[in-house]
Amino acid sequence: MRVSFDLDEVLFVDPKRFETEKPPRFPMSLLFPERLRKGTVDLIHQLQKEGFDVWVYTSSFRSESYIKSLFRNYGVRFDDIVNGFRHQAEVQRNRRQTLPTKVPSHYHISLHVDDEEAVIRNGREYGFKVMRVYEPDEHWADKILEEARRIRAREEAESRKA
Amino acid sequence: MEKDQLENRMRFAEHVLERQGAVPLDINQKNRELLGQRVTYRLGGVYYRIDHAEIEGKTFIILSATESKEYAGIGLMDDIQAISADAGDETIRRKLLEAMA
Repeated sequence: MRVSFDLDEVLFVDPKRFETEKPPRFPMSLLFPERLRKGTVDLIHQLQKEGFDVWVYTSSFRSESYIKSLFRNYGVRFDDIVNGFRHQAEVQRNRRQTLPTKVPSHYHISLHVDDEEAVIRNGREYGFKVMRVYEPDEHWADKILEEARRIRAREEAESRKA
Repeated sequence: MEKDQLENRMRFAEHVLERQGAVPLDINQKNRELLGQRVTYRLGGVYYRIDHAEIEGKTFIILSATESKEYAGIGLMDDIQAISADAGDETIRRKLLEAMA
């Protein structure tokens, strides 16, 4: 099962408001000024250990190389990355109708984690599951793990029925 | 670091890209002429360029990258690796390969 994460305000947070992971060492700390929400590294590792495919799905236009390199400094390797360029090329394409900035169901993502209310509304309309994470919350990682396990159990039960 | 020495280190870094199969491209000509940006390479759908920067008084070799042909064409890339220009060949090679993996 696939789980995806938005970056800004979800995994990348303001260190003045949030507890964060220890930044990478100089000079990488300057190359990658984004700071990770505390618990990100353990959460991604735990999800992957439990067999989840973990993706980034961001509407930002940071390159995949940049995102990969940034997280490599924390020992994290995502299974795949969808950025603004890829979404435009593979999801929006030349459709006349403007689609939402994220359509996780296009990539068979069962749970997407995002901070934006609009993405949650789009989830209802376009049929994908979104969990909202935005404010500081010391239990955020446990809640995501729990939700991912719950959705997987439900999907497995449904596939047994079918 | 002397200019010649730095040029030699950056040339070595480009040689590492070439040894990996990166192909030099005839793009970003305007910024190459105006800003002295170095040649852009393409490998496996990613565009790379070697540069250098002074950070807190130290000289670093910088590897920049993008997957966008359009951005690469106008020299817009993200910096993804910084290696001390004093580093030996093996360190430069290892860190470049790590960043391109």
